[in-house]
Amino acid sequence: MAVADEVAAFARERRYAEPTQQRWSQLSDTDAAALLRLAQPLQLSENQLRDLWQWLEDVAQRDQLTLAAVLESSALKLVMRSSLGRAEKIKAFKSKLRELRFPQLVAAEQQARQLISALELPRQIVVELPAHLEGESIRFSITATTSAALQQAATALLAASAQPQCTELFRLLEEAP
Amino acid sequence: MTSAAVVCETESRDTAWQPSSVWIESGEEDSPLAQRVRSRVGKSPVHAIDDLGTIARPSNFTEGKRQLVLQRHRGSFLHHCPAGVTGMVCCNYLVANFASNCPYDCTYCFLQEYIANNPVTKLFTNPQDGLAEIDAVLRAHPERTFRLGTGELADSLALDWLTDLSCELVPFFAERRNAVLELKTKSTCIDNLLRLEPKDRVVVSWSVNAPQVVRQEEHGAPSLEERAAAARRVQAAGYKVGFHFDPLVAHDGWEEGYRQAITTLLNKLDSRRVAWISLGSLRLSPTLKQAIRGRKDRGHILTGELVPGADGKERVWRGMRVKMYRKMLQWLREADAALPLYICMEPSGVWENVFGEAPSDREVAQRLVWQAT
Repeated sequence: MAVADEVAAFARERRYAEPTQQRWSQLSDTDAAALLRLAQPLQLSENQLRDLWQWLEDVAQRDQLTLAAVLESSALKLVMRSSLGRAEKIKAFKSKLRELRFPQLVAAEQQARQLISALELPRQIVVELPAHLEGESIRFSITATTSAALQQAATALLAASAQPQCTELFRLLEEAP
Repeated sequence: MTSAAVVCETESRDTAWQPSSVWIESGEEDSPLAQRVRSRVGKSPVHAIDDLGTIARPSNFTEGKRQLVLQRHRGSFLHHCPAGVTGMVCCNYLVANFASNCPYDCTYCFLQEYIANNPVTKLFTNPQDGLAEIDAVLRAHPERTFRLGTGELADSLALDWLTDLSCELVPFFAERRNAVLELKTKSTCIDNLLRLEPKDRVVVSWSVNAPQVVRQEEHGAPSLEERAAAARRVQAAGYKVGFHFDPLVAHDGWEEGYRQAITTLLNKLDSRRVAWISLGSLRLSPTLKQAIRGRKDRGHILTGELVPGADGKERVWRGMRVKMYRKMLQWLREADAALPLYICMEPSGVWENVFGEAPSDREVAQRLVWQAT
């Protein structure tokens, strides 16, 4: 079966809207087939496909690659070859693609997580960074079932706040490395 | 109002822009502006039209720019700058709209969203009504000093070769003590300005960018060098000038690009006669983003690391914005530590990070007025 026919059959089966099918049909055969190799095994909904496609297209434009070449990147292929279930695989694929799409932001987020981890906070303390690091505050929340546990967590938090990693964490939020 | 006494027939134009057709609202054919446009517009067909609503809708925004409509403006000319939204430090700027749309075709232009439903280029045939409205506001508040500009819905000068609007605006503001007019442009259409006297209380500012952004995103606009040369001539003629690095775009090589832009602009310019320099990050609403994606030539701006902010607009993530602002601040301060700088559409926390202070809206506005006068 020709690529265009395969795409059309899949899009019909998944009930993709006409504009999406139209957009797909405008891709080169190589790109269209590569996108099908993503959408088919993951049984992507139209919205899921559209989101991933947009990022793929952005990366392709930025790096002057074809869509197929972006999909050939080792990080993405590794996810597709993994034995994860469908939902987990979609999540992992999106996460890896986000690394490609937002490399500096993701690097800063990873650095922030390392710094949080270095604070060695007890499990009762949850640290929340602002979404996409778009904000100036970090939320530290303590969950405690006794006053002793609260005191213990608060003491640990106070000690962590004096660590250089804590200063570095806030500095990271203020300005990109 | 009649045209100013200064003879303002200009030869300068910096773009191959030519309207595909000109539509004049019935009854406005003999207005001074319509007469000027008709005499200068060249071979474009000119039509009188009773109902402007019957003009065929352009197939896209870029095409719409080439339909020139001359019409009476029936609403208010004067508005508060739409950048002044809750949560952002605002410079209390007023905008006066004597036209709508622009001959340049910048990929990031917010007009693609703002006037999406009516993307023709409009010139208003009754600028005297706008000036009367401004005059009334200035007279009603003699205790205040206003900063206002004509470069929100249009480039202030790009079509001046066609309209001579500057010949009415500059003398008008030169006579008023409680206002400063900003003519904001990307153009080199400055011949009228060079001839006008007096020129007090007018700041001519250029929207500028790194050379790569100019090349890739600002279609039809003069190069950075051309804008810099125009700024030098305008300053030498006695005006204060300004620059707007807006939108700052985090592209590959942005540090070198913006540093080079600063050097190009400030070279041979008297930095003491720079009224202000603003910095603003690229910001895209969901609708604008969609409009850019629909363009034939959409440039590279959507490939940046843009994330949604509290106001619903996407910007490059905050840490990167602050990094860019700080670098710009450093390079500009190295050029002249006294350059008056501000940032546009950012919350007070970002001001604090960049300048070490978060002034009130009023303070920002006062400083800018003071710098300009």
